[in-house]
Amino acid sequence: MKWNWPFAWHILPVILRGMVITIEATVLGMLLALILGLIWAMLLILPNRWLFWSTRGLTEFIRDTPLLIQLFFCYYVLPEIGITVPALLTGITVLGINYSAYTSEVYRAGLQNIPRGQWDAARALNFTAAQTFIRIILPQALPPIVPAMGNNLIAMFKDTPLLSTITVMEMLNRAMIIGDKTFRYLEPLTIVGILFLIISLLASALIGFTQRRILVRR
Amino acid sequence: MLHMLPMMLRGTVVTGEVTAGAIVVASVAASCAVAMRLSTLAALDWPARVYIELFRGTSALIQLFWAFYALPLVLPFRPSPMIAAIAVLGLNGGAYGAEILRGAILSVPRGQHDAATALNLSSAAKMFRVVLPQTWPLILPPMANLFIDMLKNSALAGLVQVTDITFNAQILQESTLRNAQVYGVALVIYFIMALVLAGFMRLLERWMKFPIGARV
Amino acid sequence: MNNKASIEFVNIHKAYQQNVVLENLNLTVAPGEHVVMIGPSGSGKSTILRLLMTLENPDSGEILIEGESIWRTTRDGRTVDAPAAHVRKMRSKVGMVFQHFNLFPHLRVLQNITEAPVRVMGMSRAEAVRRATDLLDRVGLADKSEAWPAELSGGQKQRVAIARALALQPRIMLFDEITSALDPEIAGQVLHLVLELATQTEMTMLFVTHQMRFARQIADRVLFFDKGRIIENGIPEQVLEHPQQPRTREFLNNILQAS
Ligand SMILES: Nc1ncnc2c1ncn2[C@@H]1O[C@H](COP(=O)(O)OP(=O)(O)O)[C@@H](O)[C@H]1O
Ligand SMILES: [Mg+2]
Repeated sequence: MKWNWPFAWHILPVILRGMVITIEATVLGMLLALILGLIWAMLLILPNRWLFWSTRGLTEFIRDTPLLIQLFFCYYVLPEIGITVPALLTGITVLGINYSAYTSEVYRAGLQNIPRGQWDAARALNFTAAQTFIRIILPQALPPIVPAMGNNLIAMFKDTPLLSTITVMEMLNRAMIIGDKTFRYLEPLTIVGILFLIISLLASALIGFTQRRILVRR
Repeated sequence: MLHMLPMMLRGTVVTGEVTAGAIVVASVAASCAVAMRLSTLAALDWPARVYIELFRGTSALIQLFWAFYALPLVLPFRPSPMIAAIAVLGLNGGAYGAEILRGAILSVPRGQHDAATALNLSSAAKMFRVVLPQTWPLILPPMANLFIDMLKNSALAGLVQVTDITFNAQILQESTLRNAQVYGVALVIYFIMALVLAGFMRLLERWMKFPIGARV
Repeated sequence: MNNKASIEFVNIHKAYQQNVVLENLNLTVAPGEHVVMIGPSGSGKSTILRLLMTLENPDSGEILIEGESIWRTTRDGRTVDAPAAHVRKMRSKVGMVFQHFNLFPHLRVLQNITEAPVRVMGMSRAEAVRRATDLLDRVGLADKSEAWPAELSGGQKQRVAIARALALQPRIMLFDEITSALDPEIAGQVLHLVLELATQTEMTMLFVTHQMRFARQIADRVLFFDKGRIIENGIPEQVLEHPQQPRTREFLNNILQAS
């Protein structure tokens, strides 16, 4: 079986339409992961053992189990408990929750890199806990972790094909449907692979660039 | 609940086999790729680079589907699902492992190379007796993470007919419709496997530990 | 108010895990008094300042500022843990300058000074900027208001830190080895600034320092610390020139030899 160019050009637009969904899932999933991760990180630095261990336990469990099974679990169990939402929304939520376990580690590392003197000075100036966190600590902790968050974003992007298993019509799903119909899997799957490759290489280059920018600014 | 256990346990064994096989493939692939990356010959360096970027730049599921659906169409034979899964997941992990290994080797200070050269060690002796042993403490923690990622990635094999936990869970789910139970049990099994793997890696870490970072 | 002590430590006990740092410490400082604390490293001097700044909590005992306990209040005739608002009110009476400056690296010099007056005291931004500019002028850095902390020398950073603490108009100022991280010449300039400040205000001031000349110039009283206890307590001439304890003599000799 040889590569068939006309066929490849013919199916490219169909697959590209799936990219919109891929990107939508990545962006929204990451947004959720950024918010939830920050919440976990804050719960971890609060001086409360119970909160600490339950947060730890939750993130550890999320990180130690396959995203695929988490997707299946939510996809099949949510309707059972009366929550019927579109598969894409389930996928985005699971992606976001899954990656929040990783972003929380990144936040935590960023927070740990803030010298104790910064907390001391904020206390000495009588800032409230919220003011200290929002105005003094976070503005210092966030810029250095941008590259790490970028890497998480790329990783999540590469995990979106898993959403095809719960019927989300992203790129891989479209490619497989074309393959199932035409019995030509080579072109659609290769096209999807190349599209992913191009975007992740570009994104990696962008992250390398911002990383150097941040290093220069410091 | 109890009647599904035998099937899940059979799946667990297969998951263990896929993961172990993939880890072996990954170790070999990573070592070869790093050796090629560190060579001064562009003819060796470039293929290794392409391998690493190719596997890190796309996702494991696409690679797996490609190997399972597209590759047999151009190959003269069809590999068994198990072999295909181990090969793909191993090569995927190897690409990430290569970056870990390379970073660790490059972080060994110049002085160590100089000292080895001053002792007139051969370049092989320099690598295997001086440089590599120092990288263990640096490599093990990220390698533990990589192995756990590979364990989790092995679930993808269930999507290409490998009868692992995921595959069996899907069958059970379809036949019993006890969604929460089936996938809940699957999650817990993976979690326990990950804990065991992590515990083993931590033992290895403790065993390999020496005071690194001290100026000697 | 002036007949009340500015600062009182009553039977203060403080330990980090098993490491007992302060045991049964009692200390009274009068309003406007300038007290210099000296002693070997690890003897608990910083801990005292940090307790006063509420950066640490005492394990037992009571710390009073102008006659009022920091951590405890009486409600319905009973003594109870003070609410956070009370602690914040007490904290507003104290300012601190740190050994390692602790400027906020993400804020420009002027913002470092205005941030707390605006956020904590609720001062208008215009007013805060006006006063910060005055303070910068006073510490000789009028031209640096738009600089980033990272662009300043050590001496300049410490001047900004002093201005930042003054901006909240505390009644008590704490200085913890503020020149230890500076070159001797620069240190001299910063200490000169502090001396000037001390004569212009009526603030109570506590210093931890190893600069004996400065101590002699600024101190109304010198305390010598050893292992968490005050083993010498008197006017500078007495403690620095005629120390009673052998431990003090030894320490002063070492310092003199070092400099
Ligand atoms: N955050 C802390 N955790 C544990 N031990 C501490 C902490 N801060 C200070 N200590 C200990 O308390 C003792 C007194 O420290 P400190 O007050 O800083 O001494 P000084 O300022 O006189 O050098 C030292 O033994 C120090 O190790
Ligand atoms: Mg100290």
